Amino acid sequence: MSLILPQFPEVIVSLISFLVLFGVLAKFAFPAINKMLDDRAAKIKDSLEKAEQTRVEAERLLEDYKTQMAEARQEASRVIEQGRKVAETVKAEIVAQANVEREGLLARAREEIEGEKKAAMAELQASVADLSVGVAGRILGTTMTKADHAALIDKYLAEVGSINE
Amino acid sequence: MNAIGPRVTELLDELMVHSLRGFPLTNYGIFLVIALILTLGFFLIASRRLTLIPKGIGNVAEMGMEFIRDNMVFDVIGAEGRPYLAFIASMFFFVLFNNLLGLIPGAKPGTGTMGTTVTWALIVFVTYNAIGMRKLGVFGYIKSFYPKGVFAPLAVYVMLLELISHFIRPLTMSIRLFANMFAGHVILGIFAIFTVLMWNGSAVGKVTAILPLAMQIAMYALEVFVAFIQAYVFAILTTVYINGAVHAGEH
Amino acid sequence: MTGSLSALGAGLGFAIGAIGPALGIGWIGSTTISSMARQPEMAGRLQTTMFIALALAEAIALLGFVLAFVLMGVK
Repeated sequence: MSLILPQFPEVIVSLISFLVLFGVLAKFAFPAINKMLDDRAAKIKDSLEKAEQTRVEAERLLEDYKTQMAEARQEASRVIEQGRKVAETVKAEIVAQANVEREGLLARAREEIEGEKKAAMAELQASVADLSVGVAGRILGTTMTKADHAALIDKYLAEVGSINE
Repeated sequence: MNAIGPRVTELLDELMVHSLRGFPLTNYGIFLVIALILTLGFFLIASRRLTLIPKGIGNVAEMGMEFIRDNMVFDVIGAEGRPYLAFIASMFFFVLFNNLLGLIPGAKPGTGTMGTTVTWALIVFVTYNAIGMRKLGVFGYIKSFYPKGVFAPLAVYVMLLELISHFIRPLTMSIRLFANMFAGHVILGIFAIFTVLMWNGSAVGKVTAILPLAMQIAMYALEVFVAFIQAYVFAILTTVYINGAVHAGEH
Repeated sequence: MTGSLSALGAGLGFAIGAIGPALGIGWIGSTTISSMARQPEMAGRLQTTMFIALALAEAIALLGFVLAFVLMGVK
């Protein structure tokens, strides 16, 4: 029966033991442990929040950089495009000017050639006329009248001209 | 077969409560005091060794505390349970240390005797009723057992049942803890007796003694588990009863 | 002779008395497991409730155990 019935000394010992344990631990041990648990929870929460903030900030920066990059690229392609346009305009101008100059040169050259040709033609005409008169007089042994000369020369010239044409 | 009887009697005599000669403690009480010193020492040292990055003995104490706080007190009572955390934690750790101390061969659990468990169950009983009375007043607390909106004779009957179940609580609580610890030690002792008797009995017995020995080892593992489970059950019942008192008259 | 009879009574009493709680504990465990499988997010609360129910069922077996020891003392 001593198994089931509580023994008085044990009741006293266990009562005092528990009260001592509860008193000491509730005052000296558990508050420190609970505080540490709370502190750690707060610290972890803090760190997580900070990390989240940092992440958001980093994302914002990245977004900024991306925008700036895109803008820079656009700017660059715009500059290149502009450069190309300017170059093309300049090129067109140069080509046009060159064409004009060439036309001028050609025209002048043609004119000069034409002039030379005419001068040469006139000179040739004169010398041919003189020569032919001399030759004809020598051959005929007669002196032809001025009118005869002229008629003859014209006739000859017409022939020469037809050849030349 | 004849040899077993006296040995079992001897074992049970050994496990009975004895007064130690020239000492105010019983054979269980002395281990109770040792467990008290160990628990106090453990927590006082652990609470001085707390670091923000958990490690060592401080971490063990914190894990236990966190388990009680989050899985028991906050889960059952909610945030209002915070004032009772120290009480429940003291209960849990004291019972646990006693149970574990009893598993050292030759030692006894301080909780393996009715004297201790009845006292603690009564402490729990007084505590939770005091919490209820402080909240609702003595009369209000007793009135909270009376169900509202029920046919009067039936309500009285229900109230009577409620009161009886409340007064049975310390009894079942104490018998549960005591009987678990005591029965565990009886089982371990009986398998030890089997092993020794088989070993001494015959040549064949030296081989077959391995069976009760293996059983003994398995039971020892089970007893370690039971030590934790019973501390948990004792503490969770304390928590549930306190919860009932904290939320008395709300249902 | 009377002593061994009371020992027999104690053993039988506890054995028979342990049947009910044993079935009850098994049933509590199995229903808790199936509930946990159905609602894993409730596992923590179910576990707490399970331990309370286990303790209640177990108390009956332990009452039988204590009764057995009381009976053994009967001469």
